Amino acid sequence: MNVTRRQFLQRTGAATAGALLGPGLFAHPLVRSAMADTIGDRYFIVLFLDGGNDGQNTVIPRSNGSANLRTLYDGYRRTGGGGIAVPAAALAATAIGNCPGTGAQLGLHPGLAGFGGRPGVGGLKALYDAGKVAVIQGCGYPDYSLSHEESRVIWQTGNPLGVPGLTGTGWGGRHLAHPAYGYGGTQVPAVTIGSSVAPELRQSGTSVLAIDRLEDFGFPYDYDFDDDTATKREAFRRLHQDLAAGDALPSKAYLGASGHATLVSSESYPQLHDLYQADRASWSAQYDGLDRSTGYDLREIAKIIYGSAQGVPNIGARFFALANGGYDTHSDQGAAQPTGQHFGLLAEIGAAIKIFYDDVASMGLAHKVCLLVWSEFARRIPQNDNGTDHGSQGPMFVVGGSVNGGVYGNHPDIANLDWNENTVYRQAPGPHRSTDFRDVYGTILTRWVNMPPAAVAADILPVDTEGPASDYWQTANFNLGFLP
Amino acid sequence: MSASGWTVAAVLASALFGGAIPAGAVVFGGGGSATTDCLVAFDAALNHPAKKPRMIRCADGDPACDRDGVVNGVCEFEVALCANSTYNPTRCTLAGVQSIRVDHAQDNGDPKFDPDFQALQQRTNNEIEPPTASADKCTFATRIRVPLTGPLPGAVCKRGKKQIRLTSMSTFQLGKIYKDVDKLKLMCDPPPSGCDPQVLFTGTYDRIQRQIFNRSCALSGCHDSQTQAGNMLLEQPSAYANVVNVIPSNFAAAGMGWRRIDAANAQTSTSFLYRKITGDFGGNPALGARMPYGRPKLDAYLVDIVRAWIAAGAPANGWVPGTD
Repeated sequence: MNVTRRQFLQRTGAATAGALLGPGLFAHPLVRSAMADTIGDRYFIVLFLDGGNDGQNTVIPRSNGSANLRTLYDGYRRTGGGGIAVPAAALAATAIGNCPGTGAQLGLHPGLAGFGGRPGVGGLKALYDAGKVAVIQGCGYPDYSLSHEESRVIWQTGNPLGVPGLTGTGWGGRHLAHPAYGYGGTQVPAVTIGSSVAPELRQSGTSVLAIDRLEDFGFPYDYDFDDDTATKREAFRRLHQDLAAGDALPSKAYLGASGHATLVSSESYPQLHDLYQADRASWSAQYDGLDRSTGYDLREIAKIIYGSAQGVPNIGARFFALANGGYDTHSDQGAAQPTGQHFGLLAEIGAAIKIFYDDVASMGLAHKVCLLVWSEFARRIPQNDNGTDHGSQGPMFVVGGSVNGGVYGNHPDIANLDWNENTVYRQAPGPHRSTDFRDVYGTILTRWVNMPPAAVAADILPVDTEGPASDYWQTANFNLGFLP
Repeated sequence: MSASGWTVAAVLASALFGGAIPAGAVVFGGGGSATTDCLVAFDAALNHPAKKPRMIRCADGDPACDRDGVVNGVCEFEVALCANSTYNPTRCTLAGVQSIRVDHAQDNGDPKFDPDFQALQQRTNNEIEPPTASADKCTFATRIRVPLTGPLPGAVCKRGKKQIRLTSMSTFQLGKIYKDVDKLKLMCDPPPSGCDPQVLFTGTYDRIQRQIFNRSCALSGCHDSQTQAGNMLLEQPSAYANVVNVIPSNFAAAGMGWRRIDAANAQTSTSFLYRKITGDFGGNPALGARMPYGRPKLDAYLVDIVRAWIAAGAPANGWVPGTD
């Protein structure tokens, strides 16, 4: 099925907002050239767990440590009918490292080890054991919002305080649009797997494609009346080329460049599907065997990475975004049983990431791939009838062949909840010091993308300027240690 | 199998989810044209009417049908959905579901939003993942809770009801797109032992939370965690800490030294929440609207319970005399 003409245009990055950032420090041509090369043939993927993943049931204390974590967890969450407590005994097979702050031993939800009887067995837990997963606990921001929309925007823009210069652009988008990198409007450095551009990649300096399935991505020719196919293509090309070349209005020039990029991509990217299916049929079958959308979406990214590494022309994407929904588990959440709703969600991503990792590893590219998992908030510690309500801090995962696996960041302080029964984000030193999600982004930008920390702090992720330093993020730490 | 193809004993568990269907479950098309009814079917322990079951009816606490198995004012029903069901292969051969929508499953201010329907929709999205042409692709069972109506004065309850309504669209096949609308009614009857509040609830505050806040306040677009109207959250288990001795967000009420629930003084006149549910604002428009907003007043016997609870100092636990 071809996309419609309207979709074709919508799926470029043209529908974005926000001004281009100034050249600042890195305008020197030599610096620009050096920086533009830094991402090189590395790939970065963002996976969004839409709805607010229950972090307290994702990375779970097995023991008390110095803060009584397991006893408190058992006090807040029930077993039996409607109970969502994952018993300590059920975490024996998915045990990971200790919480750095409290020393409590931690376990991953059993679902993260994948489904029994389907591909991807072992899941994220197997990758953790291989040292390829960084579990970053307690990620959040000051004065959390419990609204899905508000919190999602905060994470995607990297802008909890609503600083005007950062609204309308995504944190990844600001990186792509940074003049130091020199991505132009005709280039496509990023692809969203989905029907619209992921907000974290929004900007107006370069083009981002939104593709559901590569094999369906193409110019909307009418094959029932194909006499004028060449004419249509040429008309589209010239229209956008003229806009890109000759118009003084930046917005028109951008639209022209973006349209040109989309046309070229529509003729390049679909080939990647055929190439992958031909060369990697057995890997493709693994994703089919999992039969879950996250697996299918990651397979599209695997196709692009494979084609890119094989040198297919006009494939420049290095950044990818995808999402999986269903994490808003107010009801019928389930505990550790495989029939539970949360188990199914975590098994889907655990198994899909395992297959994807093994796939790129078999391409010889695992060390060049880095995947970040996030959600807009976690969930409240005390359970309600048989589910959980919106909460504050939760864990993030970073997966990749070059990742220094292990547990980073502290478990949220579940002994001292606020009046909403939520954990409190704090920057004060101590065993419960929170992780600001921007430190995770910053670590990736500085260590994986090789952007200078000063540029990240100046243009991508400025620290908060209000409130006390014990509560607010006023000292950036762009080297959390999970990337070399 | 009945001639109309209403129901058939379930032997159709999907290969992926073998064994997921509870004992006694039947596949039920959900109503509508027999030629489209297999697009999406319910898979549940239907038991009513006995001759040709197409709904579930259960007394609270009946272990044969109430999955929580205890008298607690709520019946829990297990319902799974199956796409491209083969329960009636002679009449319905459609294979290809484009979309499945559960009514009132979106937390977008819909006054009838129900988190159990949301859970059913999420399971459908994740475990069936339309579009799909796989035969008998089923979800695991979702627990749908149906509370009794009440208890009313005199320890009396009435039947509680919910209806699951699905709208499913087929992929383009046989020259068109087909639509299948399915309904499943769930009924919770009062337990034979009656509706003693002391059995259904653990104390006065638990009754206020479950019978008033959960049913009339912590709703989508109101005092739920997504909206928190007036910066006040009335969901379990946050509500107590959000109301007792807390200064209201309303400046006029706060300016008069009121609290949401003035437990310290055990006074209803300075308890803004009480004023809101009674609509007693003394003609001061700055105090806003009566609650529940845009809905009928709470029944008088429920307001009486709140009044007695405040007068007793709004305890978190235990029974205040006259509230059971």
